[in-house]
Amino acid sequence: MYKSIGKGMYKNRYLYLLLLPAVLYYALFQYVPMYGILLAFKEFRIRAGILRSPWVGWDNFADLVAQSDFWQAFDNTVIISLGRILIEFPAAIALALLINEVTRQRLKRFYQTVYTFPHFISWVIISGIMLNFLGDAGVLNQILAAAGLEKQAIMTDPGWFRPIVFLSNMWKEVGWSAIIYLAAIAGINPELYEAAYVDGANRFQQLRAITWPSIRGTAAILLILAVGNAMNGGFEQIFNLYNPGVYQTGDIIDTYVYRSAFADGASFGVTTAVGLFKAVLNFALLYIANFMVKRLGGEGLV
Amino acid sequence: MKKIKPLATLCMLTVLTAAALSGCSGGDKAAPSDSAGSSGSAAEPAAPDAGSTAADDPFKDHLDISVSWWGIGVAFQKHDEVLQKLEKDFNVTLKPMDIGWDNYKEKSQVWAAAGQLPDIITSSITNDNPATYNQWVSQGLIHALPDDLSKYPNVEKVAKAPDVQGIYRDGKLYAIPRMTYPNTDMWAVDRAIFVRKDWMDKLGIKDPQSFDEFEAMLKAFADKDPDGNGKKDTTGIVMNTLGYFKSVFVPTFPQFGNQSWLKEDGKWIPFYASKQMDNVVVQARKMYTDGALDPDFAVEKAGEANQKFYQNKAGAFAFSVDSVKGATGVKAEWEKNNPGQNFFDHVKLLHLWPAADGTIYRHTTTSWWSESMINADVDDAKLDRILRIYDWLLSPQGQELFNYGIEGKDYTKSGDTVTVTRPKDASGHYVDLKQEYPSMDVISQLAMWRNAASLEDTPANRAAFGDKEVQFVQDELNWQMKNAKPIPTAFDIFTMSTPAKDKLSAINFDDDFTRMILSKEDPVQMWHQIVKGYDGKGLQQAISEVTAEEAKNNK
Repeated sequence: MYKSIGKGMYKNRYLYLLLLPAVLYYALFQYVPMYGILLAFKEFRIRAGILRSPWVGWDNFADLVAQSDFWQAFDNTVIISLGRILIEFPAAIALALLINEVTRQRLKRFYQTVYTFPHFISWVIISGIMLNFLGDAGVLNQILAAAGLEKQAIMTDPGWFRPIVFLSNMWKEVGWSAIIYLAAIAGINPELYEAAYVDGANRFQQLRAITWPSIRGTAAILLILAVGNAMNGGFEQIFNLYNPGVYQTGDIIDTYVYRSAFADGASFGVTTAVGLFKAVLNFALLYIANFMVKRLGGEGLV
Repeated sequence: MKKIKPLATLCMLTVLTAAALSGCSGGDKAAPSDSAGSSGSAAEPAAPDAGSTAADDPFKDHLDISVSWWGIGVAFQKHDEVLQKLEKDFNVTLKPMDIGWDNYKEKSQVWAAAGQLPDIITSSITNDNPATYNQWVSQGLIHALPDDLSKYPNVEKVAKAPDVQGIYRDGKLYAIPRMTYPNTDMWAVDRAIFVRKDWMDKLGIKDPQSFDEFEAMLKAFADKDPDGNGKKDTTGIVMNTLGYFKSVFVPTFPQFGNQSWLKEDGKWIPFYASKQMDNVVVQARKMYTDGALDPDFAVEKAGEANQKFYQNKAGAFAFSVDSVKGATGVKAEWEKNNPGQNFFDHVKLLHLWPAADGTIYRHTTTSWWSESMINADVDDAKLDRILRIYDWLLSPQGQELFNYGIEGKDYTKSGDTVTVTRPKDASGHYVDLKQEYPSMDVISQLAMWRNAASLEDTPANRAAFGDKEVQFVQDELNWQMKNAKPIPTAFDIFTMSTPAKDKLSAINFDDDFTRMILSKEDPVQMWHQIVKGYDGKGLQQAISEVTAEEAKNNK
């Protein structure tokens, strides 16, 4: 038995060598730092380090659930993540299908570039642009004022915050997310379309009968991943866009953790507890989504 | 044998790659302890004969000292002569570690957690956040200063100042407070409201004598097109940071202005729990809904809104009086945006109106803001060097450098007479030393803010900043001394530490106050709700603890 594994490994030694850096990367940067979650059960003493800090059992979790701000952040995270799955997730598929329908190659590439480009702008810059656009002296309010309408404090209005989050993230990321679908579409055998055309299928029927089934598997996998990522509400975006005025609708767990860990000087233990809490939830969601996709006849991730 | 060889190669490769990668990841953490170890071992052999060699030349060994400061990266970039002089005189190399005004507290927390604190730590925890200070002391992150400071008389003077006694822990001092002024009176000009007097004249507005008049003026700035461009593109008041803005509520509720505790119904309470907050929140909300307060105040980062005042988009600006001077002062920035116009023809300072008891109150607070702390990993030799540097920074010789520049180059001295020899700029003033030597800004303030020095009416200041600029500050200081009284303040509570009071640092007042201003709910009800939420963070317990503590001193 051992002999054959060794033999197999030796035979494919160069492949294993190729694999090695990736394995090392995950071991060193993803698994080794995991011991940090011990902090959730400890009272962190900075000089003692994580391992030598005293244990406190579930105290940090008890502190956490007693904080009303945490539950507000929890609710916001769930709502914003749901919104991302319901609104932002299908948008990329829709965009890929639409771009695919553009027949002229040059135009198709042009659209693809235009939609992909914002992905490379950082949120810090986008938040600046948005303030210039939506702020009190911004373009939008200038137009409203010129039209004799009342100015809107969009950036500080809790009611506006979530729509802004969804729209701005869609603007930034939809083109980037569509790439993978476009790649899947590109892999479809053109003969299928030709056959459908000969059979008299119009473009919509072709989309329904050929394109969609061909990318459905990809969509299912990405959906599972998106659900597994659901409790990460997009820290960078929210952090750059929010302000105290919109905490009630915009403060997600990650931003809450950041604020209480560093700005307010709260205990690192409590904030690690939040992180762990979130990770466990993510893990559960990932499995549920995977299970559902499999039950619905799709191919799961695990 | 043949089989083993490739396997061994593979194993070795694995080990090597792992070593290389872990070297990358763990390197940062390992570095400080390594260097501490090596410097420690280098210092140790020297220690036994320190009596003979170190006493001869305390600066014999070259030392690297890392130091954090706001914007130090930029200031030290040029590595100018002032910095070179300091490094040469003390035989050190200063390693700058930059912090920003927006997140310096977070940054030092992150550094602390990662074990990467600089040797000289700049923060403001002794009176802004005593809980963190206590935590750092109890966790051994920062070095206690030696009990006997007689070798460093200027540092000793700071350590012995009466209000510094509040931050001794178990008889030891763990920070060198950065003294702002020699007395608490001079804080009077730390808060100011600049206002466009040309706009006031144009709209026929007189100096406001009450909050309502003040608010009406700001509203007029926003609504009545004071710049006459036909567009509704101006606003009332903008602020450098929220802290400066708070001063407009001093007549309504004096202690709100310096965020201190006060005695109400027989108990000592923090300002935010006071009944007087009701009036403040109503007024603040009104300013926002009327457009008297810059509608974007909550989304702008520190210092961002200043531009609105410089670019004629705001009629009032909450900042500090001494900020009018210097190369990047309010005057310079305003004139840069309005070429050919004289700042003093367009802008004046607005004085606060009397409070309900008829008194005009002026700003005051503890005599220092922020402090230098020394990393606990620093060895004795380095601690001695740092304290020697600080002693010099606080000495008259240090002061002379910051006033006049480098002797022989910027000035000459015979006896007590100083002759300034540095060049003059286009406006006939001597070139600003801080422009000539960017590091001067940091070095001159590292041990002490020296605001007093720049506020004083001295020939050096008149030469450096101009007569009008110095007069502007002097007039304001004199007015405040003559007409206003300091905010009644329980100074001892700022640095007091009790278990529950320490926990109050989890309260982020500024965030909640901003949230209240922006909300559409009833401000008073909302504020009461917020303060009730503070009970969950230990407010009531803190109140009883502090009240008991104050009772011991018959207060």
